[in-house]
Amino acid sequence: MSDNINKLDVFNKFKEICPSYEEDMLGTEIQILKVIENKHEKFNLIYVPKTGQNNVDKILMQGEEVKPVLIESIIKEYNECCTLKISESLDKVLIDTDEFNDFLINGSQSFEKIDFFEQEYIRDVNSSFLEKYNARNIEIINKYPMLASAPREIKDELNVITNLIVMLKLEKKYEVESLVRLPNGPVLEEKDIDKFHENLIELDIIQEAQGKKSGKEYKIISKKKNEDDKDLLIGMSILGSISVMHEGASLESLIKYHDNISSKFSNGTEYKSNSCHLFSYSIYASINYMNKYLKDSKKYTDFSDFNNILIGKGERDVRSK
Amino acid sequence: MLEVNDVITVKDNEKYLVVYTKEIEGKSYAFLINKNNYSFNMFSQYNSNSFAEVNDIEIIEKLLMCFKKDKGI
Repeated sequence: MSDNINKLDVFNKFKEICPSYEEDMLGTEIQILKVIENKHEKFNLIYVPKTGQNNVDKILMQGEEVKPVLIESIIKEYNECCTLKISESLDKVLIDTDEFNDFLINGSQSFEKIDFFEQEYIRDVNSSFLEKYNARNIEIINKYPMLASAPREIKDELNVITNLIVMLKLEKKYEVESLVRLPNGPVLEEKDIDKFHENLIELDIIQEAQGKKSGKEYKIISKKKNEDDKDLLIGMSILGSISVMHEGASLESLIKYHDNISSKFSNGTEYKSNSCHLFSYSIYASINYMNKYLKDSKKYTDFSDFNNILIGKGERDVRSK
Repeated sequence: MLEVNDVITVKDNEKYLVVYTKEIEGKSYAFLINKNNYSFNMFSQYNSNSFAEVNDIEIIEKLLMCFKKDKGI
């Protein structure tokens, strides 16, 4: 469907698909810019920006309004895994109905896999269309790649950013201020955007994204109780070693700590007999940790001596004992 | 909330054991060891469905101090 399609046809089509919206539309000035449909015309994704005071944009799927972020997720995911084709002008989407049905049926599961904030996506956004926008838009968008590594709860809060990107991408409009909105929330004005940026900084988003505060993020699939005491003993031993070494521990203080930990967990002789292996392994693991995370700590003990002590011992795996 | 001795499975099917948990300034942290590779361990900040590696020295040092205090080290 092209941009120059007869608007009456589009409107009639819209009414047919979304009868519940007919009444709302009466007396209002509505500009239907996009009708996105599958080639079999069984699914219709309609993007309906309203003009007027509220500047409310709606995206409807089968007559039901969905969040812009959701519709984009459908498009994005579908495009990645199936045969969705979006024309250059984004005015037509060809969808294989069966595949799309399947996608919708399994939608909730599929959405779990979506990460809008993948670097790749942001990079794609940056390279493909951001250059087209004015300095104000670029200034705003350039702040968002840091979202790639933001924790999930913050990402949820920042769906506004995705909305912004989606809207820019779909609509190719430059009125950023009118497009930025919170999910299901009010349209934000320019002053709100500035405040929003301040909040981002307060939330340490920028630092987190730059890897200064947070590293890799892991999604938790399941949780259960541990059934192996030895694992916890090893963990306690490692953490204890790190914490003791952290402020310049002596070897004696480490030994004392490990004896203490070992005795708490030992039900018999098993752990006691392995305590020297546990000790050396936990120090080895601690050094790994400190090398990785605490190199620049001023309270970090010089562990070169420990390294020397552990040569030939550190890599012995306590689990095999 | 994570508790000590919980085993959490992540996307790549690796399992992490919760060794220590602490809340600081309203954020929840845990020290985790990888059950498949004991030498790979980390402090993490977590929520209900994910956790992120903490590599900020200031936070790590706070957590270590808390651990020492809690354990009487």
